[in-house]
Amino acid sequence: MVSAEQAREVALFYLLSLMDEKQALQAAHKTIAQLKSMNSVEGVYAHSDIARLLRRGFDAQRKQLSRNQPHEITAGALQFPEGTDFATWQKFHRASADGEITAVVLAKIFGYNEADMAEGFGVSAGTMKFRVAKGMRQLGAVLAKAGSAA
Amino acid sequence: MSETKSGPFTRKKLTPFLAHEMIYDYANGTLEADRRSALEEFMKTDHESQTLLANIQLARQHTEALSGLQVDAEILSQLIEAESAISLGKKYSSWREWPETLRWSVTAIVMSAVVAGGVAVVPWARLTASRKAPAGPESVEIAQIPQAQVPDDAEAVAANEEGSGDEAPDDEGSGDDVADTGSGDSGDDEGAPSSVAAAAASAATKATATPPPASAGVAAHDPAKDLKPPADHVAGLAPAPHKSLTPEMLVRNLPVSFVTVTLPKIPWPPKPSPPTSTPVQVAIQVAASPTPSPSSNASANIAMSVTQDSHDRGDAKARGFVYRAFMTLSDLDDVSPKIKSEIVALGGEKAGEVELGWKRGQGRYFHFAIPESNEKKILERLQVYGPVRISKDPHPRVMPQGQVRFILWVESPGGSTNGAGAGAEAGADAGSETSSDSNQ
Repeated sequence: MVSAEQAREVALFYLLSLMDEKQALQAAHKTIAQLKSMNSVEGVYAHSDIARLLRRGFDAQRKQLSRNQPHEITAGALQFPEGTDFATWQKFHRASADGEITAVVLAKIFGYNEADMAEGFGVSAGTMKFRVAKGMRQLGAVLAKAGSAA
Repeated sequence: MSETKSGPFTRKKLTPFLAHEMIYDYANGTLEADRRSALEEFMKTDHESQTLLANIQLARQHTEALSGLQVDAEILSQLIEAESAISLGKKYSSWREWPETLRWSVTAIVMSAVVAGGVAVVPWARLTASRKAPAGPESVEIAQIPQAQVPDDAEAVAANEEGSGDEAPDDEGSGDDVADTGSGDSGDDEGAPSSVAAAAASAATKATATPPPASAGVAAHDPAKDLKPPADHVAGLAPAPHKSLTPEMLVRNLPVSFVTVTLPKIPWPPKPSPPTSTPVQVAIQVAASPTPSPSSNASANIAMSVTQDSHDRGDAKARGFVYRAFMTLSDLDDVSPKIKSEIVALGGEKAGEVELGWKRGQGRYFHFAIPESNEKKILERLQVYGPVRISKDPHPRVMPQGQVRFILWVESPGGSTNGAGAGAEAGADAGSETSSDSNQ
């Protein structure tokens, strides 16, 4: 059984990393169905398993999106908290590579352990740490630029 | 440089590349103490490192804020319901996870299957047979007629053509018929023709009150020359005291060999008779046994007057009726299909298990239901092929409104088997009638 929080994480991951609502929801639907078919300990799934499914889903859907495609997410799909906005994330999305975006989302927004992420993504822990660090630097640069412009 | 005294990183001055790579760990608080102090020293003079640290802290704050991002509840509810074939199989692999309706449905199906299997396995036929009374012989000898039984003053001998005592192809089950009419039990016609010694009740009797001219020609055409009742019965039986016998007397005192009930031209459709004491003139021919005796050729015409009420009382449980008709035809093979087509043309339908015109020995058997409005027509058409003897017998089975049931036995003149069949049939009829009377 997948909890609402787990479903939210999956949906958010794809929405923030793909920036296309239709593709994101398709991938989330598939991932949640796959998650339900996995063994869990009282509904708790290993982060590495979730990361593996997310990486597969992201790779599959990312191929269907062009690099410079316009971001298509309806206003109601995501409810940004105060102090954040969709435009900043869009800029970060354009400035960063896919691996860095997914790493930032999982590690910094959902709090995944870098080792679990590395296992799920099939990379070394150092590579994952580098992706997170680079993504954070880029996000910070976007934020700083946006702040100075304001 | 004083910082060269402690640690490998303090001895060498940090390059900007190394410092920038360590800023993320420094911001996370995971940097070692030596490196931390070295980086702090480096950042004091490196403006770019300070900017990077500030950006990372901004990014941390932003991502922490984004962790409260919410997805539309409707989208979430749809996603939670997402299932795949594997997840569905896993979900329903446990009985407890099945929906309530599915569980009850499966339970009901399993219970039904178990019950059906039990019904199919249990030998009901044996159980039923074990509950029944010990089965008697298939042949029930009701009476035998000795020669001495025939009244001396009987005038004519009506030889019976049906005296050979073979089976009748009546799916009424002649053996059962005796029991049926006597006991009021139901006599279903699903059975194949059965042996009937109820033919023993078939003494050829002829009503003498007003023997109709048509019946005389029909009934008195075959001597009972083949009849050989047991000789030991002959001496023990008293002669009939009177030429006019009541039905009770007929049953008690006339151990008859065979009975053929011939009805003369009955006004068709039969007029309903008053419920009480309307005499029905029945011509009964009594064929005496050909056992050698001084009066071996004796035959009797016995006037018998059967009242309708006695008939009704005897068949209190047999509310329906069946017409039993008999024909003797020489060209049976040619006529039988024609009779069948006549029946079908008048709306007749097979009533028993066997097809119309079922061949039995040298006879043909027609058991059919026909609309009541065509009763007269079918008889008229049958009479085209030859004389028809017909009797209306009570029967437990009640036909639907507007339907009547016929059992027609057509035989060839020389066939002893056929004659026996018809005789047995007639005997069954007579037996049922007389036995019902005797029950009163």
